[in-house]
Amino acid sequence: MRIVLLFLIAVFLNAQNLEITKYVTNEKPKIAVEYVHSTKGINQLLKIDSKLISNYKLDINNTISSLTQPVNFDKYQGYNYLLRINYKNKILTALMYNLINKKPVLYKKYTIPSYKVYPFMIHFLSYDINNKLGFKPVKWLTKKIVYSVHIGPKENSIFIADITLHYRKRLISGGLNIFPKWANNQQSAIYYTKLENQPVLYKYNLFTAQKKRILSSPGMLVVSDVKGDNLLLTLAINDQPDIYEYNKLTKSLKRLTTYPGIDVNGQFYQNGIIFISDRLGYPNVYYKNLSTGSVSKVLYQGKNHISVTAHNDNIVVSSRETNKAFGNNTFNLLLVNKNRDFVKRLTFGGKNIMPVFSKDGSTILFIKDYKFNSKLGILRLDKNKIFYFKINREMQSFSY
Amino acid sequence: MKRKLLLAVSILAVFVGCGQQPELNVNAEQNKTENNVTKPEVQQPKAVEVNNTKPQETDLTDNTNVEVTSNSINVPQNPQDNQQLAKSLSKEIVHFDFDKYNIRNDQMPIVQEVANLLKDTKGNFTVRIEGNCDEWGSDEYNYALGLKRAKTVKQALIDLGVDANKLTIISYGKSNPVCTAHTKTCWAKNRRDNFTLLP
Repeated sequence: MRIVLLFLIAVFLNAQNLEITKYVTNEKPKIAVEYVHSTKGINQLLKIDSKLISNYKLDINNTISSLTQPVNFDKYQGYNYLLRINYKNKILTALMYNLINKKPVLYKKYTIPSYKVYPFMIHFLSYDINNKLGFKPVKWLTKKIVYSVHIGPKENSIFIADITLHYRKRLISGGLNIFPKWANNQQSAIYYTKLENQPVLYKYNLFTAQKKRILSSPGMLVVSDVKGDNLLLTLAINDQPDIYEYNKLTKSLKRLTTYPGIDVNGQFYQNGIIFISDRLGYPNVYYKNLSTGSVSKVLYQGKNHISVTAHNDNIVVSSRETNKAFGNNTFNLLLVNKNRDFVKRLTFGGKNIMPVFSKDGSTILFIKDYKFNSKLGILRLDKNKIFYFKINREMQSFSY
Repeated sequence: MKRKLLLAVSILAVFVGCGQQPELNVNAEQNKTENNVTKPEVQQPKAVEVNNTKPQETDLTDNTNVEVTSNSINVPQNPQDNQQLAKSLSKEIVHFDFDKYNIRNDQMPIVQEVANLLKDTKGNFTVRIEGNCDEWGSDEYNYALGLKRAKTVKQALIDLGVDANKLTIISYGKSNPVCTAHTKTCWAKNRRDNFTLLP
């Protein structure tokens, strides 16, 4: 009898523990925001960032007279943290309290050179808030993107922006400027292709605004991937699009594919490259081991994979799922895990193309085209959420 | 008798004088034009040197060269001939099926027409074959598809006897649409090869 009672008590206690655990994982920390001086754009972007990160909830409350005025802790029942901000003269001061133990956990100043770049300031603040709450860092939020937009026939311009497209600045215009690609992790320079009498590859320094001619090729020239001093290019030296590896120090060019059809979109991956090829009559993903030279098909699920990105064992492809010559076609993103051999559909309809993994693999950026406009899609893989930011033009390609 | 002789000599002198007058007039005109040198004046010697170098050397003695000379009149060094070729080429468009780069049977007459135009035109020139795509798909794949479309037409032209050195190719992917409406007609129009005479 005693044993039975002890057993029942143990079960009861464990049940309560399970309930508590379930409650905690479903509830996100709530942050209340007070501000001395702020703007509509700053408040809006703070909320957008909280949704993008999806680790905490944020409510903009009311104005206060100073950052150090006494906190009314009773007012914020149900909240975990109180964030106070003061934005003035291009300086944002942030002070955050833990409402449970009533102690400050964050005090930081952010300075920007001009008002226009305030989105980056807010992204860095959100990054710090997320870190203080003990969650996995969201470095991807603070990165810049460069993208090419279609202006008119044979006319594309290249822009730089933050990940939410709240900040945008035109870098290069005049003529057909396409396929921008970040040249380094510091994001201080880009490669891009300009179609003159033939395609020419340029490197553009963001700080000096100087551009340098790298090389040219008849037919086609695209930088697909950059790894240190090596570039993966799609070139058409003999009118044939193939993948080449270019070393910018030695200026050597090495041909990696020789199939007489289409080989494009090379990405450095493990001991070789993955790329798109139509060598079986339709575009699909292949892997080439650069040591052995062997080429193998990577995906056996689906057909018509027109672009690819990879991070560790995860591969995401844009797959054309319809074959309409005279109707709207559907391109969806599919996630394939090489080891677990499963396929997960990430999007459901529309034209979703050009997926790109973030460095930490937690987020995928892609282009969603809708009629004559594009949206930048941000897919939070572990949160199972997608966010869109619209531009009123057609995005040709981007680099992140 | 003496009077008749004098009359004949004077008449003869008159004819000689008349015969000389055109020469004088020609010289006068030449002097005038030399004094009023204009751009066309400057260009003509160049054209004469290029067009007529061979005929000046051979035309007077060889009938076959005379024929060559007559053909050389069609050499498109004349800007008007270039314009005519450019105009003719601009009307020729080869269309493709969705996601394909092989030449359809119904498009072969257009390729043949372009081949005939290029073979019938003498002189140095370069034609760029421009491959284009509709809006569907990622642009890197589309650029390669456009390039393959240009390449297949280039190869077809070479097979039909066009000098390969007169052809070059480029791809514009989906960046050079002739039609931007979101319709099937538009998409079909954009899946094409254009021909451009390079300056």
